[in-house]
Amino acid sequence: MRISSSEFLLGSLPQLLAQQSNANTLNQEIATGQTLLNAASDPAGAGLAMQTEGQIQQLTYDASNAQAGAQTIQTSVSALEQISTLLNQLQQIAENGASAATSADARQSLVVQAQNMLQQLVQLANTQDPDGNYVFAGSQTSTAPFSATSSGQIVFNGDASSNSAEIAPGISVPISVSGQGLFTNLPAGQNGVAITADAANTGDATALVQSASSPSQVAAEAQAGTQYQLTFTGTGGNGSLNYTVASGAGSPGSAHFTATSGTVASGSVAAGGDVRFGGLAVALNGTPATGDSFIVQPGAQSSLFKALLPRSARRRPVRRWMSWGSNRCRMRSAASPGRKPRC
Amino acid sequence: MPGISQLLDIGASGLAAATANMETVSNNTANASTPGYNVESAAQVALPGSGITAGNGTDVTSIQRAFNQFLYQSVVQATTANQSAQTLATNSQNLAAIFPVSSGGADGLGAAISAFFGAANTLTQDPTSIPDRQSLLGEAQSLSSAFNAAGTQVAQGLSSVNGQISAAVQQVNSLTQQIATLNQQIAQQAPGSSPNALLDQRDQLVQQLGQQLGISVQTDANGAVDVYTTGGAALVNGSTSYQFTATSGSYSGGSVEVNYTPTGQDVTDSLSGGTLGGLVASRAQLVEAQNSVGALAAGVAAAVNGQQSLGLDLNGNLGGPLFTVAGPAVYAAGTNTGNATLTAAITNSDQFTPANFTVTKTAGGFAATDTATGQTTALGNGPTLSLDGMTITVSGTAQNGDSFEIEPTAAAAQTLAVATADPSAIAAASAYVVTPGSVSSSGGSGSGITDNNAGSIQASIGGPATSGGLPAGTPLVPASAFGQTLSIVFTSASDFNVETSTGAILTSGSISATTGGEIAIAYPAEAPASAVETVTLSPGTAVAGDTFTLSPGGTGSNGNITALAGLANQDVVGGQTLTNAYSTLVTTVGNYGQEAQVAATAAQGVLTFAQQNEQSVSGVNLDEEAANLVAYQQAYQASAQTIASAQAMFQSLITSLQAA
Repeated sequence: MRISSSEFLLGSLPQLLAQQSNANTLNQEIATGQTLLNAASDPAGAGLAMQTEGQIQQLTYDASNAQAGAQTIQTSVSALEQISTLLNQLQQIAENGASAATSADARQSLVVQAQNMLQQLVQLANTQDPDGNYVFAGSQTSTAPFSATSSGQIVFNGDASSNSAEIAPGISVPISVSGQGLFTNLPAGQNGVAITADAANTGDATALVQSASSPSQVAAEAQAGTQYQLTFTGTGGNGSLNYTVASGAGSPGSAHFTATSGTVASGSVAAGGDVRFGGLAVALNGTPATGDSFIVQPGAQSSLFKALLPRSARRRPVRRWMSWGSNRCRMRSAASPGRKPRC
Repeated sequence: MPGISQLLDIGASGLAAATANMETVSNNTANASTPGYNVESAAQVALPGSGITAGNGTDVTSIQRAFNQFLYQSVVQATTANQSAQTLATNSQNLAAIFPVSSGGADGLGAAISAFFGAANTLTQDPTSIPDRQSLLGEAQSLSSAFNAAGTQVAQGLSSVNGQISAAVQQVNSLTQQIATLNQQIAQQAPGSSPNALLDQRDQLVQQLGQQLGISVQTDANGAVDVYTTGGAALVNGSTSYQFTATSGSYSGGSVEVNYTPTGQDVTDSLSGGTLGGLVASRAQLVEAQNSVGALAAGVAAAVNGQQSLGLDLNGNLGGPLFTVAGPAVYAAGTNTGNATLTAAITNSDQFTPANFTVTKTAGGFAATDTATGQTTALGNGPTLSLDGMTITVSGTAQNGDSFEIEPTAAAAQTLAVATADPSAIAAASAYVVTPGSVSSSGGSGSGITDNNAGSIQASIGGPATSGGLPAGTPLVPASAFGQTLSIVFTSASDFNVETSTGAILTSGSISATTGGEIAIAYPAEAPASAVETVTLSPGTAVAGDTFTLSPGGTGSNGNITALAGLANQDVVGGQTLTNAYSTLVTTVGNYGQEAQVAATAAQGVLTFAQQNEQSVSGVNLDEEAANLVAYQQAYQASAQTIASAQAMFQSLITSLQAA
């Protein structure tokens, strides 16, 4: 083919320039160590790289969440471990106090010890993390979750909210737990059945759950919120005590209880005998006065602190902190000298 | 009868022909690198003699240029295609560079999006932390800056392309004028003469015009060329040229349109090939990128602001917007006769598809046309029109034929800004938390919550939802009560009231013992429409008097910031997560860059091939010219020698006559 001279000289210029441009691109790739200089060099690869990078970032965040969550949990766990130690010590104090060999003065000092421990318990329940947040306060982390009222009651000021963190794509775990569930909503009474003496009682009787003849019935009544009011109506023959048991939903004295109440048991019982109703056997110690009453509540809940509050009267019932159907014994009060721990 | 004088004439014609040939050789050599020059040669014919003679010498009839119309046309076409491809390649490479592939911590939009959600994620770990909040605000600022930078660069690209279109139109006008003038000059040449220089010049100008836009060329009987656009509009007709006008368009959106002056018609979309075609194609890519990145910005703003308004800030107030962003721009056509004005807002950024629309009023109501695809959607008569996640409100009366251009997200990326500098304004906390038990206001410092619940119901916060998605009959607490501490008080095993702290009953409902139930609390107007906070009640039975307290989330709650950080994995922009939407954008512009580069390389190859073919016919080969030079030099010498010989012969004759 005939070639023009300018073509002969310049015809290969575009190719030369293209090669130079390629060499330049390669130089840049070598200098940066990256082949994706911009999206135009490999669009599909760029998209893939960015999505993968997004996933890597997300996993980095998840890992960071898991680490931070573990620290938060560690703070809670170490507080709970200290509380557990305290409770063991309290149990020891209770057993010491219950021993016949302990003198009244010694008991007094045990009371002081127990009260100090109550304060420690409250402090532990108000544990703060390194950032100053109260770990057991739910979402109200700037307020101490447990405080004493003027009457010495420990109240919960937080809420039941629990924070969770994503620790893997689509997997979130709670990283905090509210003090309400930990310290205040504990099953109360013996085998989950609480007996409360009416504050106006004049007799010296105490009542405690002897046994549950029908655990299933007790559980069902607990579920339905049934409460019983055991009232002594007078003295029968041979020193036996006449009683009636009313049952209803809700707390005795409330309108709802009155509306749903009915007498489920009545009769007389000898001093020291058992009153049986609702699948329960309630044992009496001492002598109730006429008109004295006890409230029996299956499924009751109480606070850890309540059990340690100083009591003015010894008529309060025996309390055992035990979940119904569970073997884990939480604590026993000092007021059960006659009984061996079941757990 | 031939004689010695005849010999002289023949020798003289040989000298003249050799001179003419030498002239073409020297002209060819001089113009060896002149663009558009076609190699010339002298057309030489032998002059016939009369009777039994050897002929009357030679004659140069014309100086011809080696020109092949077909090869020339293919060069013009290849030039057009190449210029278009190169223009597009340059612009799309620039566009791709605006959206860097974030790798290895490189800055850019992708990294900024990731860093923003990273900071939100860090805040979930300690929602009360002011430094973490500050850092989230900082990342929000970086994110908006990255969007601003990308938006500004795209806008600058657009304005540069618009400027180049105007410049190219001027260039086209000037070229068509020059071609028409040359046509005229060529036509004025004496018949039979060959105005090679003028022809070369004109063909060169036509080729330059072909660089600006796609053309088709026809040569008429007089040697003049008529030039048409590929769309068929006449640019040059003999000695007349027709102009283009670059205008700012019928809507004042700033986009330059090309009008064909004789008809006033907008021919922008029919321009293809050449610089203009490349620029129009580049502009479509830039507009698409601008809309997409704008949709991302608007999507980020809508999603984050929406989430903000569902949670509580550090002061316990419902979160305000974290970002501000310009809404859709609506431009009315200058020719509208009605008094209607349109306002548009993106109401569902997830359903929104970024595109510009022309909304035209027709007898059958409003119709929207996607300016990129030409797809038309009927919108009805209004006054509220719904289009792809956008709500358009018509006020006033539109006449048939009135039209409006809507650019929903063109300005969004440039205008994204952080609305607050107050770190406590970040709404990290859930709107409500639920706690079993009731507030005991009796005594002491705190109004503690005491849980005396006896039933088996558990309550939990279900999180924000929309009221439309709830089962029918779900008790709804009115928005007026939002923010107060509320109580769910059971009056029986299944019935409950939702009460204020003073006991006023707001709503009531009942739950199923087997499936549980739900309560909704309406958000105030700041939150997205029909947003509600839900409370889930577990299956079970309650005991009358059982109470759950709904209190506003405390500062330690990370419910809302967790949801905000989770937006990174939610489909918030056109059915995609932000990261995926951004990587789609990057892939799209990357594809444009790559395709254009491939096309440009191919077009360059085609052009080189066409040029080689054309040059093989029309180019000057200096070796050839050198050989010709020698040949014509010798021819000249030989002719001179024949004259000398004739002279010698004549001299001999004279001498012999004198001797006689």
